[in-house]
Amino acid sequence: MSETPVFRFRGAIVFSALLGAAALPTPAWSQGVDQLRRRIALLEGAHREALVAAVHSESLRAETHDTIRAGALTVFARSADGAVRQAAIAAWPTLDSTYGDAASILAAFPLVFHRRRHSEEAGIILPQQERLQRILVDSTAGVRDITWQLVSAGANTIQGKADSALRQWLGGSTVAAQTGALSHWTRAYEELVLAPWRSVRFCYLGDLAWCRVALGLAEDSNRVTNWYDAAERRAIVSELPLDALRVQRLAVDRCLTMRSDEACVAVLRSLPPEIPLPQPLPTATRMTLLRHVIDLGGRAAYPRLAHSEEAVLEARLAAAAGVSADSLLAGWRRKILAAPPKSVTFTMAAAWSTVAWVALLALVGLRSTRWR
Amino acid sequence: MFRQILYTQWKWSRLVVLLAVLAGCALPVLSVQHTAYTNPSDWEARQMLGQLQSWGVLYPVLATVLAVIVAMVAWAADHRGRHVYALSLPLPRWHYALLRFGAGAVLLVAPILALWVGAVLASSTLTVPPGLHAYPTELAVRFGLALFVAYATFFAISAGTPRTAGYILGALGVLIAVQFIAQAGDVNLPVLTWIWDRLSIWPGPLDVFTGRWMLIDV
Repeated sequence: MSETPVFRFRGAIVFSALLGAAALPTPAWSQGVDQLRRRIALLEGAHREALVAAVHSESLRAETHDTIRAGALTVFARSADGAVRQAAIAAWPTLDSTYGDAASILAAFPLVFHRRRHSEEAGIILPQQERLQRILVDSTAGVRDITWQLVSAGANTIQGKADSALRQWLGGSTVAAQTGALSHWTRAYEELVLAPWRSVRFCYLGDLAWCRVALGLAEDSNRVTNWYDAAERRAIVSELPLDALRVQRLAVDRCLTMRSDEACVAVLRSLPPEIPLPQPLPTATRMTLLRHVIDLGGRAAYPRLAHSEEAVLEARLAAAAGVSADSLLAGWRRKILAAPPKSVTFTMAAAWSTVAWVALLALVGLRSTRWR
Repeated sequence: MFRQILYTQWKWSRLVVLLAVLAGCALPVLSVQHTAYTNPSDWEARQMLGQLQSWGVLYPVLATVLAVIVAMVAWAADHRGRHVYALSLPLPRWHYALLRFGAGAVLLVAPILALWVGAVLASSTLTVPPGLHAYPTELAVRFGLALFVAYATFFAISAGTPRTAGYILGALGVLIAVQFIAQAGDVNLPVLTWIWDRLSIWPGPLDVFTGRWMLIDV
């Protein structure tokens, strides 16, 4: 290697700065739209190259790194860490089967992997770079943990490119991190039975129109009245932090003491953005619907969903799954009801193994050497 | 012979067994006393389950405490008398130990039945919200299995010599030391976690104790 990593890092920054400076002198109003687009594309390309060079040089400065590729998934990790290679190989099929062709975007968004050592207990501050996701794991993390981290990071990147309506509905959860394991459906079952909202209760009882409301798929403009009934609205207001309601004191009093539903609606409609309304079903349960869509629609489901021209989310999900909206929701509900959690019920295998343990321990007691 | 041993063990441990019968019967009834769900139009299932879950930790605790006491009491008189009475009997050692084990196990049946009766009573006096179910028999069966596992474990420990107990404690100490040294040396060697997982996850002996103990659940 003829130049130091630090020099290359600085060189890349200087290169991109010069390129940017070269693009600026021409007044923007004197250029055509096409010409501007070309310049933007050129600058973006240069920025991408500079970024890759910066990452590479920075990682070289710290320690020797390898570039691990599995499909479109690209990970920079320490050369000695074989677990990351195994994890990347395990993570890619999950991402590919979940997101299909949409997962190819990961080629442009490398992940930088770092393993925390015991000597770094105080914490590591990793420099932030746009287009670059950092993964920091504990020193003891095994292949399974790392695989989950890579899947989560990759899924975040892919879902982050979706349109705002879909992103908002997904609420930051990632469907790929839900591997379709039974526990997610079981948790959804618990939500369906235990959530304190009317919409969820009726969804559990089989009314698909209420399932739409509970999942946030129905008309979104009037959540306060669509999502909750009067008693639920009053309960929500009573749980709100008092500081946030100082301005609304009169309305809150009317809502809680005089039981005025109009006042409750007014309070809930005027909530600041930092206090969101509670969703009838959490985003984790919404993810089970998306998982169901992907199970039905296969590899092409997510790209269809992400690039759909439909305005209504429910129609987009149904189109991605390749079935009607009613059939989609009915299938989703059926799948949840088929996965009730195990509570006090004991499996026969567990009961027999316990009986075997009792017999074994009793034998140990009989064979004691106390008298010898 | 069994009847005599059963009678003597009953005399030694009757207070504990009777208290356990009362506790076993009362626990399920008390656990549903303050549940908020009284009206089918209300939907407070989560709150109800939260209350039941907080009571649920008492079932394995009751099983363990009862098992420890009955197992210890079974051998206490022999230990005090240096096993002279047992040695004077025309019985092999294993037969005598089996009689002691069996007598203790018979005494434990009463608290299990009491818990089942209490659970049936509690669930029949309550309106269970849609989607939830009462599990009185399953709860009693699970309580019984946990009780017998704990009883067999402590019976075996109690029947052993102090030297055996020393070996077990010594082995545990060595494992803790190995774990500590491995952590200090930045080596990934989760020995204790591994052992605990083997014990508490099926088919381990403590699997019956783990998870939720709920009279009413989804």
